[in-house]
Amino acid sequence: MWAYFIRRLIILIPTLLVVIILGFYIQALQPTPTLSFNEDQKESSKYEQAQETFIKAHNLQLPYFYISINSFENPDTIFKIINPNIQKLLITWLDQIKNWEAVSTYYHELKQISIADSSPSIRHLAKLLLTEPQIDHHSSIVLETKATGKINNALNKLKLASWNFAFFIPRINFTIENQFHLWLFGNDEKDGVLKGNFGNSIYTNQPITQNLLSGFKYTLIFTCLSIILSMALAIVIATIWKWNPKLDALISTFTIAALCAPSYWVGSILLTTFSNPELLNIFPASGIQPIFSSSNGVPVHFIYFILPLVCYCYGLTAMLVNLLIQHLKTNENKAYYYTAKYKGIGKSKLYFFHQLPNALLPALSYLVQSIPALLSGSVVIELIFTIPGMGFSIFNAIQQGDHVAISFIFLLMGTITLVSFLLADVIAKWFNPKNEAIW
Amino acid sequence: MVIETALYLNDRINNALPYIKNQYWLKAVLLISILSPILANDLPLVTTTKEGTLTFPAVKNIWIPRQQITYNETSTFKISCAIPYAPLKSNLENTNLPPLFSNQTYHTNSMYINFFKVHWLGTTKNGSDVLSNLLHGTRVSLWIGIMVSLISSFIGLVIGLGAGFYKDKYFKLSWLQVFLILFSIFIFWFYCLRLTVSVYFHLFIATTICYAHTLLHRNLAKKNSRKRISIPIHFLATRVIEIFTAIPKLILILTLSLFITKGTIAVITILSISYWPLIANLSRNLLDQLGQENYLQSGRLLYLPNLILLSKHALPMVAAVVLPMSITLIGFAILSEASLSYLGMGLASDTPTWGVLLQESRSNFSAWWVAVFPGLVIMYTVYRLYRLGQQMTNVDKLFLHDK
Repeated sequence: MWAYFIRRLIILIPTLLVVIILGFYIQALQPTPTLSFNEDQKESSKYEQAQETFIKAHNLQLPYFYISINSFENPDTIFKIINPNIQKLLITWLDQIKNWEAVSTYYHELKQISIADSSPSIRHLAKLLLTEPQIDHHSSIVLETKATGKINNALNKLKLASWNFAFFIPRINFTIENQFHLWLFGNDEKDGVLKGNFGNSIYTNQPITQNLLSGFKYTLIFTCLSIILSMALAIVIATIWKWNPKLDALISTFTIAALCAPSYWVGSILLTTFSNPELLNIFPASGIQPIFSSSNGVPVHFIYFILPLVCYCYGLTAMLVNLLIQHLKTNENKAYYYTAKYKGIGKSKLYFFHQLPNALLPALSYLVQSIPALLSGSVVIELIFTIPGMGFSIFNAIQQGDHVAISFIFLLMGTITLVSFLLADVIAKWFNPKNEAIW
Repeated sequence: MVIETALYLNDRINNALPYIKNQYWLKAVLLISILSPILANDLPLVTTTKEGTLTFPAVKNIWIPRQQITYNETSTFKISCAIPYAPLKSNLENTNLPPLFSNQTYHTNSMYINFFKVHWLGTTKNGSDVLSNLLHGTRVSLWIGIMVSLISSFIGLVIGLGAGFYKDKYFKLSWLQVFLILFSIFIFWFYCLRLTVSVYFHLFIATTICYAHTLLHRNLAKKNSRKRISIPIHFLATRVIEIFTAIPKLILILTLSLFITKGTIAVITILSISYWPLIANLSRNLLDQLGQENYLQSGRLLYLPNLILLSKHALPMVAAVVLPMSITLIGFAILSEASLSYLGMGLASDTPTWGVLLQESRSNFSAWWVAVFPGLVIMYTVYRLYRLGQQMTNVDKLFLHDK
């Protein structure tokens, strides 16, 4: 047993590492965040400065990972250019021209012209070219404006120097100075994830754990309550099925229908019927209050929990009932069942002490496995009922595109999921050691 | 192998046909998904052109988008569709109408037209007809479901079959072959995906790699045939499946939909990425359990070629479980698409789907008809698909026992 557990744990760690790296890459795929400025302010140099300090503060200009494979012509020092737009522009130019030296000299010449040239029209033209990613369009723009001299010379020089053979040779870059390393280990200024610092939110600059986990208690209460309630309900329904086998078709119809009903739809239907001033105004439409804070000694705030709990529970209950009945049926064909039956055990004793415990095991294993799904399912339910839980803040963080928050969410959810899978396997192995582990 | 599989599938479908016969709801949904432009459209079914010949603009709409169709609006001869409203077309005079005969404003006094111009299931807050939206929504929702199920079951079958059939020790390659495969993958990734090089260069690289591969394989791999290493396909596939299941589906979908541009193809890719581990896990587990029965093992001992073992013995057993599962997966994909659209992160709101309709109800609680009817339609369709899947499993069990 212990050997199995330890072997499982050893395999879990690299899997978790890959999940974290995958999450990091997924969050890195989205465009770099920009500060929100008005259109008028964007023109000024103040905006560029603010943007640069913002990017520098979060180290967004660094490469994502230790190893990156690039063409030999790609400069490994490109991350020193802080402005992401210029970085992207130079790389698109390089893809077309395939010669880094020519591209960089062209860029510097244009920059020089846009600052220092005497005629304003040529300065404007240079600025225009500095925002144009397609090199083919450059010559047409130059032809249209009939500009000659410096810009034309620079463009001609660029076109002559295009195509360097080194562009087609791959090169492996290795740097310790990257975003993943900083996030995991930290540097002199701030701690990394391994020392318990998960970073600050990009937009609010508060610690991400405080941001995301402040509502965790609500989500935890809902998850625990729904697990207990739905398990109890499922056992009750399965017992009813055992004593009334004619209800089989009815129960299966209702459970499958419940599985097919999306939770947000059920939530909005419940809201329109039970918290509608025109129809029935029994439950509050939104918000949450602490359970045990009461007025006049009566816990009135329990009423806030009822509609969300229904939303949490019905699908899980249906799934558990399905599983329980299926395994009760298979247990009825087994030898132990016949033996006990013909030895003369009472029906209720046979059911509660022999048949039900055997059928409960897969249901329990499923329940443990569904904890992460419940946590992520809280996103939708908390959005509908506007509960300030973890799901609500997760949705907000993802929609804002907060880099730090997304990698933290992947870390948290990946850990919870892998641990719950491990727990489910261990439960299955504990109760039935004959179970061959699947690797 | 292809013919074997086709014959097998044909056999299986023939066996399941008596059960499929009674699926009236699913047949109706499939038919509506094709014929929705005829049933509900603001284009007339039959009109005359200026020269006087008959045209059928609504029928054309089946394969041509609505914006590209023009017809003679001044013509006096018109037969309109049964539901004369286009989906998502706003009508500010009749907003938030409840279903059935409600007081709506008309522009004509003809009784005949008034009888047909009824919003049977009410209107949304923009004044577009709910029934018309529902009918047109079947098209996008059902086809997204079918495509997701097809793609994810294909990927899942390939990976699950490979893992379950070859296990950890039966897939053997020489070191050279391993190196060549890894090298060609790297070359493909570097030159075709990473660098933006011209198409002719891609072709050149691809042909040289293929040529070198075959040459080296023929001449050198035979010499090294004794030094073969077994590749732990089962272990690798299990880890990949574990990694993909470790990330909760909803969070993966939400994060992916941030930077993939909105559209049907994007939704299909996002959902296929999140659903293939289900099928892969199922088929792999099934083959692992079969491994205990040893009939694949005995086939190996008889030196049956792997292709025949795969197609005649492994695939039929797996397909018996995967086929019903892929049918229920259509339903789950429809549900996920609806929930994505409900959260406002799926399809753009100018395409009519069931989820986009549900999203309308999110900000408009008093209009119960916008929430109830699409929800019921989604629920019953998914329910029917689930039931069909269950029936198919039972049929397959019978079929296997007969043999």
